[in-house]
Amino acid sequence: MPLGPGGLFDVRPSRLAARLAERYGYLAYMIERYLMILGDEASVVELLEANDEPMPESIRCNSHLIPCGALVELLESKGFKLARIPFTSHGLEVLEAPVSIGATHEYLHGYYYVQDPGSMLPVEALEPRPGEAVLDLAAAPGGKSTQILQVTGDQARLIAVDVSKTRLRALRSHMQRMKFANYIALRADGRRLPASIMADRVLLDAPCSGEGVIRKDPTRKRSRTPEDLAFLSGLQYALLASAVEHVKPGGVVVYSTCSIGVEENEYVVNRLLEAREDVDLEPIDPIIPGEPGVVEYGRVVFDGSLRRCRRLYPHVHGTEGFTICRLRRRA
Amino acid sequence: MPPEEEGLASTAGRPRLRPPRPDEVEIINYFAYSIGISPSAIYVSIAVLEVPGARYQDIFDVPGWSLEATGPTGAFSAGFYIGYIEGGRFKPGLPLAWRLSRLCGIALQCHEVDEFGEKVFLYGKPVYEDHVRAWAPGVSVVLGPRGDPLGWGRPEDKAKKGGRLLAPIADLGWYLRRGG
Repeated sequence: MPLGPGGLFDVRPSRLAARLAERYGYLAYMIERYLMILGDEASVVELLEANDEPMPESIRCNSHLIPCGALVELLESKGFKLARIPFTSHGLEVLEAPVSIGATHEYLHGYYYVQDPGSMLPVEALEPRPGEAVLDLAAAPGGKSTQILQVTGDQARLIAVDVSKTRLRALRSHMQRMKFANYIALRADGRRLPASIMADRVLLDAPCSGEGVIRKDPTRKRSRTPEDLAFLSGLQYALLASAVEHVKPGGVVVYSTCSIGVEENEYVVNRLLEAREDVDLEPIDPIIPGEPGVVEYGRVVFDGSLRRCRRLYPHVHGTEGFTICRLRRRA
Repeated sequence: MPPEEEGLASTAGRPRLRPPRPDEVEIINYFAYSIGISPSAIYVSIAVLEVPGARYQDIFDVPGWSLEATGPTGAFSAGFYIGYIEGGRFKPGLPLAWRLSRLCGIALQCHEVDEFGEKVFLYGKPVYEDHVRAWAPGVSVVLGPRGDPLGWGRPEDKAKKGGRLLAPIADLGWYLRRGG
């Protein structure tokens, strides 16, 4: 895999990339990468235009506490307007809000979690079941951890791991607010967990550049350098390798990031496929939207099975940028 | 070392989850009896989060598997939070109000406030008696006008004007005041 000059992390922006970067306020290397991922100028312009549209707010109804229809009635009686997000099980888009959606009595009661639609999909791809041991390897602030317990009726045995004390406080608060109990939160480095921790399913929504959430945070247009991506990619690989170590043979690992960067997604998973012969990529439930994973990127060619990953784009799916891959460790 | 990783290099000084001591169980049971319910309504299996140097200990009702799962790794929280012990007294937590609210009017006398009282209470302020629909004799769960648990409160005498008010001990508005 070419990593040196002209390789994966050494992107030389073309004139077109430089021109688009200036027009939309990005670092030029980012645009060059979008041209490599999407293949043509028109698609890249659509992406950049979509990234300039603010992200609508959305919530995940906590069906553990309240039927989603009842929550919609409650909030609409207070002047909110909501619409179901079709490709999610519990997602609702906030069309109109008389007050902040994070400051209602219903929020305090734990009836919902404020979450972007793409972020709801990794748990849907993980498909946790009641009674299973589930490890959430970068768990805080708890959006996906609470979702794992929600979809299993608080019946999965969840081990939620994160390195940050501050973010773990938020996770604990969300667990309490939403009334989930079947979990333990550990403050630990996900790359160095005790060998005794083994799970039926592992979710790794990895720390990433946040390139997919430019709609929410436009500073991301210029805040990450190729060196940052190289660092993150290394961290992501180490965490993914740990995720596979801690899943039982036959178990499922879902890897996701809120990034459309190939360096943070296909490259990371491809490295793992090269390093381990006992891991395969699996198809993701077709109800989950997304374009196929990238298998050719500049001079780099990845394993063909990476097409099974899903990529969500703001200009195609109306979500934040997101990538999801589902792996299985062979029994 | 990034600030996030501080304190992770060694297991010494890290919080750990442990079974309760007999005196801690006694403190929690005393609280249960003082509000007129059985301890079994509060917990099935208690664990204490021991934080070195802390003045209080958080108490959780934990699933049996969780104590085994921690090993030497630093636990941060687990299971259903029921409250904390400080200075030999048990202070009930917000999730416990939700758990016990199902007993209101059956095995537990609860406070109940009207719509205005709900707003005031959720700001962490005392509710004057005009806005309290029903009183419990002491510390108890506070319900809103639709029967939703809002937290914990206790009746207090108004010092100057006479009458009484419902003073908050813990209210759901804390989730917002702490930053969402």
